[in-house]
Amino acid sequence: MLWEGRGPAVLQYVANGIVVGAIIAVAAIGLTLVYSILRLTNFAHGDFVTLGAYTALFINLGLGWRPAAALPVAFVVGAALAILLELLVWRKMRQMRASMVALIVASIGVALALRNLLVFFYGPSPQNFQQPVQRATPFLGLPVTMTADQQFALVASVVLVLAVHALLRYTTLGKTMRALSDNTDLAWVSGIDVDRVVTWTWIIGGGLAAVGGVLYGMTRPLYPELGWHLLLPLFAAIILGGIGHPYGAIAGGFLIGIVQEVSVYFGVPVEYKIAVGFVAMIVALLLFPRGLFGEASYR
Amino acid sequence: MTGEALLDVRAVSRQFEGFWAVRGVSFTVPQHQIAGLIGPNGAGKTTLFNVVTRYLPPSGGEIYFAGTRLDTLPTYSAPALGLVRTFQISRVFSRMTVLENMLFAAPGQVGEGLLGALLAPRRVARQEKELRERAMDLLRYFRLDHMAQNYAGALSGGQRKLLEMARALMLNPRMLLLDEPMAGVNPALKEQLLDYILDLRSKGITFLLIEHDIDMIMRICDRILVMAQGELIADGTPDQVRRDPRVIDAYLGASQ
Amino acid sequence: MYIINVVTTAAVYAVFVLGLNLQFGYTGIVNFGHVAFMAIGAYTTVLLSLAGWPLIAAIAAGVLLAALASLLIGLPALRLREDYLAITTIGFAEVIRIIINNEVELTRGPQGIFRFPLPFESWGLSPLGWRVAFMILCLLTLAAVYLLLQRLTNSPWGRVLKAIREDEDAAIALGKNTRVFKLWSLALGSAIAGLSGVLLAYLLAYINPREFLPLTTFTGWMIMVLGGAGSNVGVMVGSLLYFGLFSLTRPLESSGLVALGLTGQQVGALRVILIGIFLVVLMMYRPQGLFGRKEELSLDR
Repeated sequence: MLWEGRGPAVLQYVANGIVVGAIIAVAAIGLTLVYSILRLTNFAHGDFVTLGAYTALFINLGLGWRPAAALPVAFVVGAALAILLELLVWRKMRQMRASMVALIVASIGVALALRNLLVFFYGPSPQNFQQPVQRATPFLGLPVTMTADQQFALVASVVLVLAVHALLRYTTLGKTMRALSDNTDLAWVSGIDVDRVVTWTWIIGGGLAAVGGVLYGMTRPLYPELGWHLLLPLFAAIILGGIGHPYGAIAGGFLIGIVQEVSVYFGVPVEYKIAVGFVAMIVALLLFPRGLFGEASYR
Repeated sequence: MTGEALLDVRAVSRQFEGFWAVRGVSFTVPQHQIAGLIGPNGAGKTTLFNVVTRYLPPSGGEIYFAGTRLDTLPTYSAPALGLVRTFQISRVFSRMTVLENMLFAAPGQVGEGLLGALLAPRRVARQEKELRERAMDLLRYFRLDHMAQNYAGALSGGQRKLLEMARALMLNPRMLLLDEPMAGVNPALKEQLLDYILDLRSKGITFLLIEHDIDMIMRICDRILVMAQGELIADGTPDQVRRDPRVIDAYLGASQ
Repeated sequence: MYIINVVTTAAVYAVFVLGLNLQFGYTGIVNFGHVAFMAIGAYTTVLLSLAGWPLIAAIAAGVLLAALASLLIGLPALRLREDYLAITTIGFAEVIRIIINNEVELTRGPQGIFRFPLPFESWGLSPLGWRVAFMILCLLTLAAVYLLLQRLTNSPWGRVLKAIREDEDAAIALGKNTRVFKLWSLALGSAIAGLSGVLLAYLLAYINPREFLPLTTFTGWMIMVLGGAGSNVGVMVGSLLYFGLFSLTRPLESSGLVALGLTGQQVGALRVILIGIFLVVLMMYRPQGLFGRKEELSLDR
């Protein structure tokens, strides 16, 4: 068709935003679940994303696999590390009834250590997956173009989001998790297998974050701070959507992604993109103290 | 024993996401009265308290205290007008000493302003001395003076209740709203509290209490308000209320 | 010469963390954007002095601007719950840094600013003499800030802050306008951070946006919780300990670790890894730090 690949410029930005947003959404689900079920604002979550990306890089450079094939490996690595931390750190801190701030500080410690571990092994400069150069092609007959990897990232994100949705709606585990995230105190008391739910929460949280990192790496260069720089948009996404609401996190993710990319179209200098997401979050917090889907951000 | 209306609650309502916890409640409390607020669990008593003390804004209606409209003022203004509340579970500052708790409450401290604290040390010291004397007087009245230098966290539950009341008195209140003052308190202390309330009333303070201990309420209150399911269903002397069929209904109904 | 450097750096950061301690240790405000105010103080003073302002005036302006900037984020955000406030303050600090980094015409951007007026320039001191004089200046500043804070926190003003930290709603119920107190605490703490920024600028004789990364705030938090949040003495001891240890590992960097084939970057990364692990261990085993008293445990609610 004549207009394939040649639509109004803003649509291209929207499309980019959707791709970014999808990745943010995937990572945000885990962050919001961990918050609502475990009451932990995990500042290390961004670095799990980075970890996933670098795991894929490792496999890509070392074994020559395409990044997409590294997805399951990244998931496992992310999940495994999350569980390790749960056993070493979070469990004990919950037992000693650590304050919210102590947990935040500890999670920052984890974030710093994880990030710099990657700097130690890979150095601070940006790197890319080794793969054949891709051309941007029209997507689904729409007037926007995306590379094959971007298309894959988008599709994969959607699939994952649907999978999480299915998990939450149709499995017992999912229902338990939703119950816990809505009304923690009551649900904890009613005799469910706490450890099992906690373990699965970390598996999903850590695993999805890592997967998000791989998808990110398929669309942009990797560098050790990537997850940390994503953390603010991630928080913005889950706050917009209402902390603790997985569907809100997804909506928030797409929203933030689109707002950030489209702002560049409207003349915001590229370096200020993160600032845009941040401002969006502040405005949202002030206007909708309960997030778009509800949970008090004021005491 | 009536005086002018001190607290004037007009058609106050409060809803939480579609659920009306308090609906159209109106009453006045005249000066020097000891009024009681009772009702089965979930009747909305604490919510009403929270709205009257400006902890929450009303969804409808108005509140006046000593002629001044209260519900449009910020929460912290209530004590300055003379209205002070205590909490069901005493909220004393555990990490400060008993004396510090008392000193904290005093209004109008020069030293609380940044400039005052920096530039007027002698005035501040003088004021602290005066306040300390007043605080010790009150602590003596409540027989807590020997604990003045202990951390409030070390006090027993009953002592904390007394401290909360002593602290409230530092604000020179005209009216005290007590949220379940007898909750979890041993019988000996209950009697003491009763005596204190009566004595304080004779010194000019008006009271509104929420209580579940019906005996206590009947003994001490001049007048009783009864709430059920967010509405005021009875308002009268203890005798009147005791015999009111709607009240009996509400309690029997609630216990089913 | 070495020791002078360590002591001076420790003093500068101690000032920085004293400001943070006022906000979090005494008032309970969770501020993870503290470095932004250090940056504002540093850049404002340097730029104004380059524009010809007398040094004292430039410093005063830097400190004042830092305080005012804190109100910019404090007015809307102080009502937020702790975790939201943490996120918001980090975001704010990053936005400030991005602005500094990108408004190249104003701030010279990533290149930074090299030559600007320093104190004692007209005294004709030798380089060593200047370092000593500057160290003394920093120590005097630290002492002044410390005494100021001690006076304030032991006053009725400080008493209200402590009450807010413990139970803000109860404080409001007793008639205190807590919002104003929190804003004052935030502003004063940020002014102190601004002052530390000025000192840092003079210490390095060079400023650029990379000096004001979130890592600085996190290091400040580490020093604060190490010393015991709420204890000003703890802050000073913590700062000295940290920079003392830091400098002790320097020789390792050049000789020992390089022998293992590590680059400077890797050593830097290793240091941060240790900071991270240390933070976690501290939170798990001794959240009250060195000098925090058990009853006054600020981190334990």
